[in-house]
Amino acid sequence: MSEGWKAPSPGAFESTTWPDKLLARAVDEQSGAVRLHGYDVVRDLAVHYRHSDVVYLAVTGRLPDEAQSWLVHVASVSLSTVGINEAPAHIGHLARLCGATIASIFGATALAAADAAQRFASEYRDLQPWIARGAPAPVPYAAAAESEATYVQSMVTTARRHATVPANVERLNRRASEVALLVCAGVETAEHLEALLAWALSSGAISEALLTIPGEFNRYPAVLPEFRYVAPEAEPSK
Amino acid sequence: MSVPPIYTGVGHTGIHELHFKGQRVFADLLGATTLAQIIGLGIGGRVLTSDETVALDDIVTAMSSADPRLWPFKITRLAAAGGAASYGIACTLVASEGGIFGSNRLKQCAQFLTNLAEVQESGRLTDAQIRDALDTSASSFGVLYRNKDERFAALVKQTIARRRHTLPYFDLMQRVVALGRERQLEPHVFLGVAAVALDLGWSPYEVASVALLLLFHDALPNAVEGAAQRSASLQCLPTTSVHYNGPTPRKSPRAQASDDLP
Repeated sequence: MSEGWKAPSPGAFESTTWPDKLLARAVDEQSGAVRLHGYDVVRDLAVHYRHSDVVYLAVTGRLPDEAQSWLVHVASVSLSTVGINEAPAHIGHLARLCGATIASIFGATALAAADAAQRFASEYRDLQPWIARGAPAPVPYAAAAESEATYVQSMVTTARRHATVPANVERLNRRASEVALLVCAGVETAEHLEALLAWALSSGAISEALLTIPGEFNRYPAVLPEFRYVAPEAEPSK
Repeated sequence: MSVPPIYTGVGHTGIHELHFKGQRVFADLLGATTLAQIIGLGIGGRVLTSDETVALDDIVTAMSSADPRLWPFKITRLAAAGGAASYGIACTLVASEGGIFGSNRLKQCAQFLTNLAEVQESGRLTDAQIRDALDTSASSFGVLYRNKDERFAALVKQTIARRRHTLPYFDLMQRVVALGRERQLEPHVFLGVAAVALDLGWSPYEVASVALLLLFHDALPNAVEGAAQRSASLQCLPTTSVHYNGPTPRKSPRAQASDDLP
């Protein structure tokens, strides 16, 4: 169809020379096997590594060592449990209630999960040097309730089965402690941290939606939280 | 623990009447309001006059650059290729966040102009001050793959034709552009869009939302056409379309230790 086609007016897409191929830097499907950062996916990674290790590789370009692998595993399992009170799962619940497709629900929840990941990564970006100093938890990072502190203590105890976790992580709130485990696992950059958080949060955000019955609006608390409309001060037309 | 209420000025749905940004929809707006006016009301909280409405019309019309080869709308096409137009629009809007073509950039352009306007209101804004400000105005200048932004030129021409070029922000913007061009800085169309929108009385935060409107406008026909076409090549290009330039084949530490991989 391009033969004989003529642009209606000249533009940058006609006058610029563009590459003729997409440039891949992570996934190689051209060497007879599928490789991620050089590693054979089915004959090496699938045999020797758990899924969270492969995600760690996809994000950082490095494979974790044994201790890092365990920390990422524990953190990601914890992150994958997203309560319906949190925006990603709440959105999924509402989308399903409205009859959305699974693709739509997952897309919406994944977006909200990525947004939450961005927020957590930003809120807790100072954790890395703080963990290294071994100082007590700063107030914004501390567990707010005893139940949360108990949960975090359990998670840290599990993490310590195969890795070293600094004592000051024990008194953090849940999300901060999950971030701290990823930091302890060698996730060094803010981008990598955000990407791993987004992956883990999005994988769990759909579970409530899948159990929601489409159309069951009478079971949904439409006024939680309550919105109160107050007409803005009317501005006169100019 | 009780959950505090959230106060909203956007809307309320009643049985007999809808309220929208302080207006009664059925009683006051329906039949008396154009598309541009209702969108302008949503953005700025005020029904635009007919003179102001054409300024919004001109922005949207001048920004009708919907070529699917443009990066934002290539995203639209890729996302809609499975058959859902909504995914095309959603992905376009989402991918604009923080990028060079979205609301952040337009907000920065508006903020750049309002910062200068504040100086102007407090006394005399000198050319030297504007030149200093140009050092921090990267979002307002720069055009990809061409010498000038044809949309900026068209919007300026049309704004002059509408006789809205003497309004405060547009006047200031023209002065800034003239000084920028002394440094071979070519304005991005968003600088012009910001000036026109600020002259409607909108804040930089409100002006930023115009970028979403513009993206929606150009993404919509791409999403609809793309969803109908369901292009197989957009769903997945052949692997021969990919050049790999990453790590060469290697064995993982665990594979090396187990020696089970040739």
